[in-house]
Amino acid sequence: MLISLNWLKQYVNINVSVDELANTLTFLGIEVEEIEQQGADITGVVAAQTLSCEAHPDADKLSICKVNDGENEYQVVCGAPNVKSGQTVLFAKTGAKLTGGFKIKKSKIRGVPSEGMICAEDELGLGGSHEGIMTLSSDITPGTPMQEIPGLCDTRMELNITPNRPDALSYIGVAREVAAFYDQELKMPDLRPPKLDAKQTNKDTITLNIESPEDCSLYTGVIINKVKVGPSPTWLVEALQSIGQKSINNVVDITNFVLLESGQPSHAFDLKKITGNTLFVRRAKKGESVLTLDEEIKNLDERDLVIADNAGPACLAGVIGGETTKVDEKTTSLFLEVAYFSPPVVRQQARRHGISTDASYRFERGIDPLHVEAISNYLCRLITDITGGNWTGETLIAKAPEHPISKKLVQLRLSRLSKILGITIDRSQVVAMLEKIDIKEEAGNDLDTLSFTIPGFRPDIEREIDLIEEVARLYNFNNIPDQLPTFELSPTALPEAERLASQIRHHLASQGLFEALSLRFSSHKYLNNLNLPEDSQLFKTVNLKNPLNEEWEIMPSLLMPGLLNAIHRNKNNRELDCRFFEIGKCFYNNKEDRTDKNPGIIEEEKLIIGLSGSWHSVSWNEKGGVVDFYVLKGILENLFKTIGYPRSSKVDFSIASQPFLHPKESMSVLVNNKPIGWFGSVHPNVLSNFGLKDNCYIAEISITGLLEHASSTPVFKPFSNFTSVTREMNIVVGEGVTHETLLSWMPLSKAKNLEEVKLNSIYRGKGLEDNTKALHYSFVYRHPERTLTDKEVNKIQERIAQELTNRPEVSFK
Amino acid sequence: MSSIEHIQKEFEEAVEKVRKSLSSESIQTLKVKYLGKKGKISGLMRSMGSISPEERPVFGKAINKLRDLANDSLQNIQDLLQHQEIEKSTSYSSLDPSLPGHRIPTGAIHPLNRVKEDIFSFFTGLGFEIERGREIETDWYNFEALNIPPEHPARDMQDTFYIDDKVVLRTQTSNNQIHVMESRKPPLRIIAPGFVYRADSDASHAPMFQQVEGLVVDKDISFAQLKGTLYIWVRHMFGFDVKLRFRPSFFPFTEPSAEMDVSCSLCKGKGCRVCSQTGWLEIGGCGCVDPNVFQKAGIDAEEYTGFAFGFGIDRITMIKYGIPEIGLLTANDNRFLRQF
Ligand SMILES: [Zn+2]
Repeated sequence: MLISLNWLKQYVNINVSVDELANTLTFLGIEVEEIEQQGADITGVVAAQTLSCEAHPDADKLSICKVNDGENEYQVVCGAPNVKSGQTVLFAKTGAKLTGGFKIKKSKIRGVPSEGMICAEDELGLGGSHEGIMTLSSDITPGTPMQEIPGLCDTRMELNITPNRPDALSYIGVAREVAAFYDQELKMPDLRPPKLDAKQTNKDTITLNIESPEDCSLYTGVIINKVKVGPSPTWLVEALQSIGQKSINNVVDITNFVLLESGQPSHAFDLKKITGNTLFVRRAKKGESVLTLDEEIKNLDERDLVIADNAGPACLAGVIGGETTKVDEKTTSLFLEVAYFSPPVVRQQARRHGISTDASYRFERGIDPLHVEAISNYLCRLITDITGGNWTGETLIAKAPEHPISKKLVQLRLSRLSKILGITIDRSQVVAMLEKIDIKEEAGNDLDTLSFTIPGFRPDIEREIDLIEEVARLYNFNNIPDQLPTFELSPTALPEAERLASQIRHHLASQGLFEALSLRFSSHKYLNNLNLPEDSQLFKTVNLKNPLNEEWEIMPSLLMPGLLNAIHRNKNNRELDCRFFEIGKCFYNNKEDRTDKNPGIIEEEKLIIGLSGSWHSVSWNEKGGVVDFYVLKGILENLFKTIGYPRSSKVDFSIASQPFLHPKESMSVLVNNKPIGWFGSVHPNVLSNFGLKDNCYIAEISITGLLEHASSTPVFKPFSNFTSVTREMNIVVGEGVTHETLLSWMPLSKAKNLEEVKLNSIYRGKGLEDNTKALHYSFVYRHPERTLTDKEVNKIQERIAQELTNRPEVSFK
Repeated sequence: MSSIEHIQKEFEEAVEKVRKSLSSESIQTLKVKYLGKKGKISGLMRSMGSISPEERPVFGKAINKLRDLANDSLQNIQDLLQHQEIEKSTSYSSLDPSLPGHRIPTGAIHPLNRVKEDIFSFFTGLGFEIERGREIETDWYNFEALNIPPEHPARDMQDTFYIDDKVVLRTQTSNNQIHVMESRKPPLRIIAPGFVYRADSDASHAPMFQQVEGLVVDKDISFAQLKGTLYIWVRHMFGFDVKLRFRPSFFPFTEPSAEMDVSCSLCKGKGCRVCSQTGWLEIGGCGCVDPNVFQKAGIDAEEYTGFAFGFGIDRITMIKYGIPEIGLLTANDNRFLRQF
């Protein structure tokens, strides 16, 4: 809510600086979000007197003026029609800076030198008018900077009012808090009705009929005749202008003014446009509609509360008025509505019809139910005063029995107060603090329990805890001491998923990968890029009803698109080497589980790895290694070792394709024979769909899936202190024979003391037939208790060679 | 006597020669020639017998002196040789301290997760348990059970993403409060981290960000204890000279409710661009658990009291590392990630 400090000062004396006031309000729970001081960006503008004013010899509309700023005399050419000698004006000297950074320079206007400018209000950011120069009261000393002229430069504050403080949605409400804090008097406007004209004869009346008392418990109206609708008086225009509101006409301006001042919305009908003599407060019927003041037809149904006449709905109650009964220049008689509408009803219909007005905003948060009639009187008086209208002398009131007629009583136990706040506050201090904001102690309290009456403007205070909060707020949270709770000691550990995620994160970062973090939004556009079959489960996504944009319309069913986009962006920034991993969630529908307490959506935590470009960074004497399939496989193998999976659970890799992976370079990862992920080179079509030129390697592992299998910590195995004996072998086989197959052909289980078979290299090309490869192995033997002899090792090696020779697929090199 | 002086002179000349072209062979040869069993100095020793008994002590002393001198000289050129060999045993003729070293590629943990893990270790150390909740939530857990009925204006405080009328992307981690209180009995000490979503996106608002929620429920938990607990935490996070202040605010699930600000660690509270010249940075909200929330979760609000707090890990990460825009955290830009 935007407020003007000058306006606020009508209700309370403020003797502190703007910054201090802002700080006070913030610590009272009315957060000041922004302060805008008029004239803050202006320099060199002072009060000055016009000494003389003569017509310009060469221009009809210009005058040549002499002004005195208290020190010097200047000659100025001025184009304003209202400039005269003997005025006190605002004068911008040469070198002054006006609003928008406009600088005043010495100049010649139609041949006459001009040493500055006499300012209009728009040039100083004080208002919108450019019709003439601003004139000030003659008692202002020439030379006074404009910022120091009393009442000239206003300060505007943007207040953030939380939903529990509807009382602060008005000038009086804010002033009440300020007055209580600084022990000042709250200056309320005179709320009495106008004096009645004895000759008043018009007995127009309207019957009020609340058909829906649970939606509107109090509806009041006054009738004012002989109204002259026209421009508002200057003070009213300026008041509205001070917070950026436009003047419409005197009647509308008064209702707006009182809404801002008191927080009570109201609405004026043109009495002559009301069909019949009855106004109904009722729910709309299906098929009814109303043309509202925003010039839109609102289609209504039973959920809408309307003010209707005999012709049908005239207003959307508490939200916006209707065109058919609108006040305009020709209006002579008014029906002025001031009412109390139920907050949820107003909120629902404002939301349903997509409008929020100053009125609906206040009704939905709750207005003062005890003040409705007083505000009706006050409005009636302002309107009769300003428009010259006559009040019929009668206030029409329809009140439901449910409407509160007195203040609420709420009890507070001092023992509970100190239990919640952790501090004991004196009974007398509690009572004094609350009394300042009109919360008064009732007689007849016992030692611990106090009763308080709650004023109507605080609908939020209903329970003991609400009073405790008020006490804490007024006491100032920062005056409550810091204490520490005392707990029973109990050991805690991270949940498994969090522990595993942390372990993966630390391991992969140590392996040279960077942890990415993507927004968890995706798009069908990206899923369409993945070569997926039409019936793919991945298309059955969790969709947002109100996405911010098309790129973020679904929750991801796959993390890969997000990472490919990230790699693409990096490559565009000439960041060619990408080594990313991310731990994120994928979402799947599971509608069978849906209940009021279960959204029916599966959230699966996944790890994704994405590599492209160089693996080792290029240094000044070595070339970088380029990422390939086996680099990614190696990363996964290391990862599984670190997180303890290949021990008690079996980890396997098998050739298996994914639509978005290269058909010749993709594998599945299985833990205890259950697939938990895949990896490989991204399919060339998918690469080009994502605008990528370089190969990318992606792995996706389900962390949720991994957690179903046991991991284990390493268990020490004794090792031999005796030297090993190594033998090498070069074996040539066809391309179709895998490393694993080849090993299976060797009688390794019978090879005593064999510690390890290492694959050193794979050779293809010169000296070998096409479609064959030479695998170079080292066999490492070691005995636990002695050094092995060449003889015993050779014997085993010969046996291996022999078995392999029996295979027609195998030859030696 | 003259034979000793002669051999000494001869030895010294030989040492000089070897010194000019040092090698372990020439040193060895020299050693054998003079100090070996059949060496010249050993020969002098053997000739002691032919010396008159009167001269013998003087002669013996002179030989010992020569032997020590020879030993020292040989050790000396031996050291020299070793020194030369160490100098030679490098592939660099000279080092350049400004040349970059060959580095094994290193990666990095995302700054947000660094901060998250730090928060975990702090609170688990105090005996808090970590609770992970779901991100897509029913209206009940995200709103109703948190004392936000359907037509409450508090629903306007957060722009909500909807999956359908009754399922939302959670707008706060407070949904965990309800899950925990439904399934366990007090005393409770919970930290619940996770992503939350708001339909809002600009330089300071991301549609998805990470929050940490804390909840403590026991028989005598007070607002003063909330303040104390948060104070030790911000000191852990931002250093011992940090100040903390509380402003009244409103959250439907806590009462009293407060916003908490820490003094700006960049300008030490003097005011700078990061803190918009205020000297303070808003880091989160907190308060005492509202009795209505206890009631919805089936906990006796007369017997138990509690406090809850929630702060944005994004915000804390940005403050800690001086990151100006929230969007950088999820841009996955190498130029950003490399810096941590
Ligand atoms: Zn700062």
